[in-house]
Amino acid sequence: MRQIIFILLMTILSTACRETQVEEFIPALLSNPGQESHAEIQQTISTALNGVTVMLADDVFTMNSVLVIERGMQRGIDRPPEMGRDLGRPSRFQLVTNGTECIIIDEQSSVHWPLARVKCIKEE
Amino acid sequence: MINQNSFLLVLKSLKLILSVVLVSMVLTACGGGGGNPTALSSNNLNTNNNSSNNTNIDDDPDEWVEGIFLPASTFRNMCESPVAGTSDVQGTFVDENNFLRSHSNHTYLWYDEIVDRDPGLHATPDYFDLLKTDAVTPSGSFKDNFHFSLPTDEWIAQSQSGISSGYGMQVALISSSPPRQAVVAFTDPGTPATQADANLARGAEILTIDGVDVIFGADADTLNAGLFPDSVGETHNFTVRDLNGTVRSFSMTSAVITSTPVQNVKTITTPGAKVGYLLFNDHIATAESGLIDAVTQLSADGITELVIDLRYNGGGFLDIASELAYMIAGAGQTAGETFEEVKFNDKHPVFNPITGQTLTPVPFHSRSQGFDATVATGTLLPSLNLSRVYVLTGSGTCSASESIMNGLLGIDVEVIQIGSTTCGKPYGFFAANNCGTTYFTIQFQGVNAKGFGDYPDGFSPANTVSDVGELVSGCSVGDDFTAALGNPVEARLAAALNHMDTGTCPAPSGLFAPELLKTSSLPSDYMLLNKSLWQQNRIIREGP
Repeated sequence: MRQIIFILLMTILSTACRETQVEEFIPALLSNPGQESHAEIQQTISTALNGVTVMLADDVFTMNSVLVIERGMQRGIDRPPEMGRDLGRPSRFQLVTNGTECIIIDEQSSVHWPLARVKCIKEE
Repeated sequence: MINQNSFLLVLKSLKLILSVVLVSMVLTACGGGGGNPTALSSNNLNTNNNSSNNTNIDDDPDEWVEGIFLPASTFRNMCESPVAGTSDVQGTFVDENNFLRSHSNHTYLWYDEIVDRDPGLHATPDYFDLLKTDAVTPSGSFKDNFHFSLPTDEWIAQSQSGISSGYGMQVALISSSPPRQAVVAFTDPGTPATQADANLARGAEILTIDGVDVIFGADADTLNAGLFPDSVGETHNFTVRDLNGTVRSFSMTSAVITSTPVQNVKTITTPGAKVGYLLFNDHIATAESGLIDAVTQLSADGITELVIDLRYNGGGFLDIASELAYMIAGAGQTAGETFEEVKFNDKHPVFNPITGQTLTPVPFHSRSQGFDATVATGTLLPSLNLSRVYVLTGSGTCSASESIMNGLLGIDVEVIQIGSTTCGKPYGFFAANNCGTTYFTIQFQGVNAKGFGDYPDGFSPANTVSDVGELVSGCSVGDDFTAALGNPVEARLAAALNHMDTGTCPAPSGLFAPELLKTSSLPSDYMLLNKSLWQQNRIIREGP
């Protein structure tokens, strides 16, 4: 029984690991822009950032495969300005394809998320 | 039998160890879990705080003993009202106060100027307000003007670089209480503010919002709601008076807008020089490509002088300030030099107490640091190789923008300041999240290659009427809303162009930030809504 559990555990972990192994990723652009794909991208980026609120442009990933995310723009008096002297860097994500799926990848950690409702084409 | 049992026990142990090792290897190979370590590290307090005068307190960690500080981690996430779905646990307001007390003692730049008070005697917001120095600057202002907190869910909200909601206009409030005057300072192209219906431009005065008189109206809530819509898709009605005197009404709908942090790049030919001009409004990631494009254009134009308009630039990424400073001065003047060195309090001379990283000076970056999506990291930056630069400033010129001035002054590039006194923020901080609130307390100071960073009253042009800030060569000139930014007749740009030719200034007309808050007459400077009054929840106030 323990052997079965061990084999199952290793299988699960191997499957999980497969998603973070290096694959042949090609930078891609969104080919089906619209509410459905935008919502999935927004949800994915939010998940990647531990569920925080994220605002994206309507044309996200249609002109560039790289998406730069930073702290929300301070465009109102009810919020403070940016750090003013920010020593950090923004987060960067890229839309890529492995030929069959469209995937968002965190450039720093290489963690990635396959997208179900997004279609994409190779970025020229 | 005993031997057989022992053998089986050893075998089981080996299998267990092997299993743990294998699982660990798999997890390591997977590179850890999801999420974004970078984003988190900047948001979360490092709990590895070890105050230099920590002492074990055996019984009640909440018991206050003056001058004795447990590590902030002792109290972290112990909350009077734990936030659901977080690592918060039930605690008391005293725990929250103790967290702030220890955190401040460990990281506050002037920790030894805080009066140690009993955390059991104050509500948390009040207690945090007390965890700062009361010292004043030579001008009489408080040395620490940047001590504030925010709801964490607001602070951690993220956006695509350059993307926000609103109309795409920045409004300068010349007076926030009646008689008010609200004037458009600048707009972003391709936004609701510049579309045909609104067609707003610098200098347009907003007279009514949703039927409420901006100048004398008592309904401040309606005015604020119209100026700062909470969501995308809100429509509000405006009446404005354009610079030519035309009064007109229109409606404007808030939208997801894309800001343009670098604008109006142009070359102005004068009898004595080819003068480059650029308006730089925000140190956000997309500014990197904007600045590179601007400098490339101005370099191709063969400019001999440069005017950088920072009057509305409240700062942002320090590395972008460094990149711009390099692009102004070039390799010859910046090689091996420090742009800015970050100094924490005297408990942390070697390591950043928040990140744990070794403190190293920020150089003048000669290559792209990889902020913008369109610029490859490591791209060699263009440069203008100038030995002097004109900087247009106002009270909205803050922090990283001031670093550009100070960094260049540190390597003896001549900086000539035209405008009003800058905000005076040579400081910075890392946000500390606790119990649903994010706290900001000054933790470091930036100094230039000469070790100078003492400008808490800002930088002031040399002929400023009263010596408020650190004096810099140049001319005190008020903001001029009667002309577009980048127009050679606009007062500050005109003064810069004149100074290049003659070395003289017009009669001083700029103001210092402290006066802005006192004056009731129409000043020649202003308060830029989202930059300088961030500590207020509401910009427009009801009358007395």
